[in-house]
Amino acid sequence: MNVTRRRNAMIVYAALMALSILWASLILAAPWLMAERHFLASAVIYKGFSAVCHQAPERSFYFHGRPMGVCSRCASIYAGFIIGLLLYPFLRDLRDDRFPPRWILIGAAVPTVIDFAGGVLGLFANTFLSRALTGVLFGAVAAFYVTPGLVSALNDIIAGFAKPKADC
Amino acid sequence: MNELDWKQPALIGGVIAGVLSGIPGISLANCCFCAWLLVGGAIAAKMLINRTPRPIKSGEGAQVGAMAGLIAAGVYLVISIPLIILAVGERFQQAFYDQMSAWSNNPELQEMMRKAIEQSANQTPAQRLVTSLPVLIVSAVVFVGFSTLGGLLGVALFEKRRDQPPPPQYPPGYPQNYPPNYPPNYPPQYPPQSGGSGGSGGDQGGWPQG
Repeated sequence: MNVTRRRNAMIVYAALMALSILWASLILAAPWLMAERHFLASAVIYKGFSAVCHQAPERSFYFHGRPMGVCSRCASIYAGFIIGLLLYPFLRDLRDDRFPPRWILIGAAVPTVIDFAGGVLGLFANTFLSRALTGVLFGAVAAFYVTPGLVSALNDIIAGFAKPKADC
Repeated sequence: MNELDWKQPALIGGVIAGVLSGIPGISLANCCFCAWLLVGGAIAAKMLINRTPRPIKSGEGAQVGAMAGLIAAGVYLVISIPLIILAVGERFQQAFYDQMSAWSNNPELQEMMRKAIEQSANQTPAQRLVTSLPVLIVSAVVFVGFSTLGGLLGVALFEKRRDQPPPPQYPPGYPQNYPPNYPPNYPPQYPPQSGGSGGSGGDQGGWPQG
């Protein structure tokens, strides 16, 4: 049982890490492909990310002279998520499928919400630095909730398959 | 998960997320980290929590979020396909091409974008649908991912029973409505407070001595 849980946790962790790196690579690939004159591939990636981000160039980091696939806040959240995943095995047991206390998640979201709301309401102008720092913090903390959740989901799914049927 | 009543939460969360993501204009909130999908997943998780007597596990939140995302993707496709056929939202498409041209400063790309705008204006409904299909499919996959995230975060935020002990599990047919403090003097106090001397067993008690 313990071996299965450890294996499940490793599968989830490896899959999350691979997906996160792929996602981040696509964010960088959009401007790089445009700089390399692969316009169609670049346009497909930019169009794909337009479903999840406003992509405003004045609020985006630039790579190879073009804006990244998502804005600076989104890029920072994704980068923070990868940082959180890298730190995860050192700070928590991978097999632990319980969430950390919820106040940590709320506390990590508050700076992002204040930074976003302040900009929208015109109370203050957020900067690249504020968007990046608050985004990295939220993304890193989010990794500590997403990972155990998916570990728990995989444990449940595998346990569901392994459970003998009552009417057999 | 099987014993949970997840269908209605997933359906309601999914329909809310799908409808809001499909309507032009309102769907712009998805530009903020796929907000409608996160909301839909979180609604599904909250409803599952409300209708389940035991604490919901994080994985169950992910599963109900994923199901809500699948439903949202279906609803989104149902709403989007007629809108594509009727060419509603062409303005957003043109804005995207204009933005791409501006980023590039490359005459070759700008010419390509100009042609793309002309072509999309002259496309038949079937052609519009075929060219939009890959983006719709990618969007549907992204929807499931973000809605799963919404379900996970929903359980993290709304499940407050995690620290409470689970309710006792009784065998089937076992009466559960005993009055409080029944049976009396249960559990027995040890060592006995009165009667019967402890014998020679010291702290360990012993047989009653005649």
